[in-house]
Amino acid sequence: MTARPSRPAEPPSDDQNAFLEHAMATYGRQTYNYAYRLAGNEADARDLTQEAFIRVYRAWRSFQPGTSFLSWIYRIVTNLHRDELRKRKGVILQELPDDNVARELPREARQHDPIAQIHERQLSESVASALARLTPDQRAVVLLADVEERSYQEIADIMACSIGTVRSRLHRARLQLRKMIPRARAAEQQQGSTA
Amino acid sequence: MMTCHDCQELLTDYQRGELTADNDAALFEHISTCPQCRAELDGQTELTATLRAAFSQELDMPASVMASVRQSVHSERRAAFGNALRSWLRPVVLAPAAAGIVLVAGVATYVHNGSTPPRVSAEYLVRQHVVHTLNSQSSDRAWNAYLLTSSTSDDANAKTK
Repeated sequence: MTARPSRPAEPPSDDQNAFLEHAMATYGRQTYNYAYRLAGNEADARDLTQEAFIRVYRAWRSFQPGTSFLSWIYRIVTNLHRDELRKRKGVILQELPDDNVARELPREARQHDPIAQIHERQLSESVASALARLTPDQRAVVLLADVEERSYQEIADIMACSIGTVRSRLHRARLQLRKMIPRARAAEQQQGSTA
Repeated sequence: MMTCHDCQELLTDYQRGELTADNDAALFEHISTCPQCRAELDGQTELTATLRAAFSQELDMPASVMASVRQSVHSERRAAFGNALRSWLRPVVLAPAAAGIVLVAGVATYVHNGSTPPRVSAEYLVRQHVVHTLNSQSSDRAWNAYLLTSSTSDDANAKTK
């Protein structure tokens, strides 16, 4: 996935290994599930989770005791996912404007969108295709707010943005999803009846 | 009095329970009398239920992920050790270190040699003492010879007594 530096920032130690093992044992499942929901398929979820724990290992001293480890590793996963999508698409994904409206891509166009294809194979197609049309940040906010049930403050910490930005992204993302999911469902039913 | 526009802005916060008590109460009052805003709230609630249902399945982290992490970490540790070793073997580090070691060894040898007297046997010292005493210009040779041998004679006398 992402390029790694040639060596860790600090010398390895037994404490560092113990920190990693404890993190994987305690938070591995939640981290993997978040990565799976964000990426929409198991292969990418595995890569994201693996890379996230390697980052945890390298940066273990930067974790502040008393803060949420889960928020920390969710932030790592979110950033990794965003970077990965940017690399795959070869463009910088930008926040959609306020007046953005959901648009239904023609099926031919969706067949050339790898993210849409991956989502559609793995998740409920209507939800997956709608989620695939959100920006990575909007997708992360929706998952954290609606599925992971995180508070605005926690989401703001994970996304490294303000609560106002979280509210704005969630509001726009929900508007799009509420338009896209019924359309996608209708299309599914239509395909099912014609098949 | 809360308007429909205000209500729409705050519905998501209301659904998530993130409003202040005053706003929460005002919005509750509004949606109890406004079918349009009530329907909007129901739509948001339904969306949340749809998303949770779509992602309701909890998966275990595959053991292969943990194994891959451990493998990567192990490789990094080995690489870190190799890099550390190579950094110590660089001429810019190795040359001053070698010079320092040679300097310390030289100083230690010098100090050690200067402070320790040469090792001489006791027999040699006694012989030198006897020769010096017998050759002394300011003393009687016979008296000196007596002094050098008297202790032996006294010891012999003490033993016979």
